[in-house]
Amino acid sequence: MQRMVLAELLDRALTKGVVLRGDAVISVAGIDLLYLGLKAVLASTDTMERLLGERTGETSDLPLRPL
Amino acid sequence: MIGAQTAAGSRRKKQGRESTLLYLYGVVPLPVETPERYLKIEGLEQDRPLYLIPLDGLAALVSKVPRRIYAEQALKERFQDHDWVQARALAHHRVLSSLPAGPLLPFKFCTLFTGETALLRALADHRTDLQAAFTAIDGGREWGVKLFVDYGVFCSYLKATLPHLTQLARRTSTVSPGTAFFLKRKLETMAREAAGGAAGERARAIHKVISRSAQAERIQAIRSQESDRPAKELLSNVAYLVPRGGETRFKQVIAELARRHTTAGLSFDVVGPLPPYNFATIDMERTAVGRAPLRDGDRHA
Repeated sequence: MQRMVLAELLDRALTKGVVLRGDAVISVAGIDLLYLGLKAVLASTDTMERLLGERTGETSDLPLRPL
Repeated sequence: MIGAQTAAGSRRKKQGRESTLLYLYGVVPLPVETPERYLKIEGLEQDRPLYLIPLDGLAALVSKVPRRIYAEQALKERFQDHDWVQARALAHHRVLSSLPAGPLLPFKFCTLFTGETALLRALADHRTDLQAAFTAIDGGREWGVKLFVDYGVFCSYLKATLPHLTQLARRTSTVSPGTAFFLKRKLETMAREAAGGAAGERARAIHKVISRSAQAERIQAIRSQESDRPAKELLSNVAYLVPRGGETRFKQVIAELARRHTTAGLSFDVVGPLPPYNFATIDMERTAVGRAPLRDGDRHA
């Protein structure tokens, strides 16, 4: 499998999907924190969300990395 | 109702008395056309195939996992082992992507319950939200589209097409070699300056075109090390929710865009169809209030 596709799948499988919280759910609440450690290995972060935050009022636009 | 309970029962005997938890992969609406096909899918752990737990028009797709590995504390330790996590995350994905065709709400990795009572209770609490999520997804599947730019090619393209740059380029052939040297350097700088904004404009225009053949979209994180092609830089990464009947059209649209923008140094990576991971969300704040505490027997020790 291509490394990039693998990263795409891992990213989705680990961080996306319906999250239920409440006493009935055992462990999903802790996953986010644990995921941070793994994410550091998978990739350094440079998120679009952060870039979005810097561009106030243009949230519908695609933020882009500077050249 | 669907024969799943009996199958689970016979498996339970085979597995002996090992204490287990329920791992929830996702939820599908009932009726499912071929329940037996779900039961053939191997779960996260060996010899623990999937089964369905019905709930008021929906079915939870679950498999048993050993408590000694998946209990909260044990799992935290397992999470230090990145290979283990990677293998399980991919298994989670494998399960979701090998399901028979039909609407699906994927759940987050490691959504675990002590047993059926706890699971049914949690899902019943969010029955309305789950239904709303199904309505929003409407049977669509997810496609990931990455747009890359080769800035070297893109700058050359701009120098050949932007009026103020082509003018400057023409001037370099009419002046002395010394002046030409400085003009060329100026041209390079101006092309690089123009490239940032121009690439952005293109990405936005491209995104708009693709969006027309999708139900919804979510902008994805860009990771700096993500390109394995050094010359190319990731410009945008968007997840699209595409209706089943529209997948061919969706791919055609991207192929057409790729053809049109290839001379400018733009290229695409498309991954899909995937379970609608990015679109499987429920509004927790609306519903997570006023729940009665669980009985002791339900609570995980």
